Amino acid sequence: MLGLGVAITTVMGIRNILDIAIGGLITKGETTWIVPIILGVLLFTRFFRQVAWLSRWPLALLVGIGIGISLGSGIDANFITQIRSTITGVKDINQALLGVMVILTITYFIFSIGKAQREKGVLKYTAQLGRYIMMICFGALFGNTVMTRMALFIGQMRFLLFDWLKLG
Amino acid sequence: MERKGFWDRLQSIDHRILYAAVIVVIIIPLLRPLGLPITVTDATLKAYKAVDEYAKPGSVVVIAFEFIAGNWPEMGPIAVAMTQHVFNKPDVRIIILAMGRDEGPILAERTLRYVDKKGKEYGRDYVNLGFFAGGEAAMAAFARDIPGLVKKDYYGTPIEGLPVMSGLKSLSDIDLFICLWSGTPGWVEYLRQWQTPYGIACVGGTLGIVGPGAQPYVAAGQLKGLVVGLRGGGEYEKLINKPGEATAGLDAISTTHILIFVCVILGNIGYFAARGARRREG
Repeated sequence: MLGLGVAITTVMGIRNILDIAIGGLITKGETTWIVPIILGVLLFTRFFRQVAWLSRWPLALLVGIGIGISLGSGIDANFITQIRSTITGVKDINQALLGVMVILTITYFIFSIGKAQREKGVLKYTAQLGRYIMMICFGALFGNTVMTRMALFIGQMRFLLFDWLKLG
Repeated sequence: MERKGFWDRLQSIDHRILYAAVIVVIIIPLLRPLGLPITVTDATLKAYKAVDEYAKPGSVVVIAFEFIAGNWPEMGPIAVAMTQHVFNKPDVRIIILAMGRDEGPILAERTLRYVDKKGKEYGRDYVNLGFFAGGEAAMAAFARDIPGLVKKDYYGTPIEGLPVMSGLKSLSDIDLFICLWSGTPGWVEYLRQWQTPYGIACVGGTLGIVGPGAQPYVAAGQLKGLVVGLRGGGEYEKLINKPGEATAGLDAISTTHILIFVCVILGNIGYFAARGARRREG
């Protein structure tokens, strides 16, 4: 299945280059495609030591565009909205518990006050509770991981039993 | 000594025995379905209700296929059930695309083979736009200027010849977005480029392994609902009253989980009993 996925990705990648970039340049005369084609070719210069530095330019462009695009609304989407929802979205006992658990978990990651301070007082207990909450979370994640793996296995068993052996 | 040996053995059951047990508890319910009850979780129900609410006559729905072929056993049933739900809606225009996974259009084609089209015609009522290279940049471009990015569909038909695309200028013309994703790139990128700047109504379908990480987006209202894993697919099939692959696999999922649950309990009993026995022996 992994091999099939890699094969599809490779074929689609080559098809995209041929159809979109080279096709656009040759059949439609869209000369602007020269720029991404050259930048794409420059990425492969890293395999040749003497001109390897050239690959930094397209890479820098890709990283710059990626960061620029994702940072624009990323802070609002992943931080501000989430924090606002945690604080103001308390409508039932579940969400109230969620808010408390978030705070307890954050206290586990307060490292700016020194080890001696951390190991006494309220912070010691809140951090310990935060650790238990994270363990519950990791347990839930692991449970879902098992479910995904089993679902993939069941899918293959269905193929073997019903499509291949024609038992159903 | 004999008792201690038993408890120790309970903690280290041979892997081959466990694998054989897993195969047995999967094969039996597949060949002889047990018909265990399916209860619908809140997140799945929210997704179903959101589709009902936003896919009204005259609306435009975008479905993004952002998962890979290897995820089909779990994502396929979700994709089929959610796509079927949208196709059940009268007078709704459906746009299928992929911007993160280039396998998306192929999997969309496969999904459409299992969907009852309810009289909807390709090009007039629904379209497969294919894959757009560029990831997040392509998402941003689509949101800003649809005709500027989309020139033809997956089969090479110019967009001018597809009535389903007429009048669509930007993401503001889209009423509902259904994101079917299995990792990165996926929902988080659409969240940054589509949901946050444009406030479009979004529902999702994803793998069981990804589900817990996506739940905060449901709690924050960024996702109106979320269908998670094979179980979620089975729940959605129940809601649209069209039992499919997920429903058939749910009994096997349940029996497998019971087996794992029993193994975890046995392992723990073995651990604590062995520890107690060692303490008693000094």
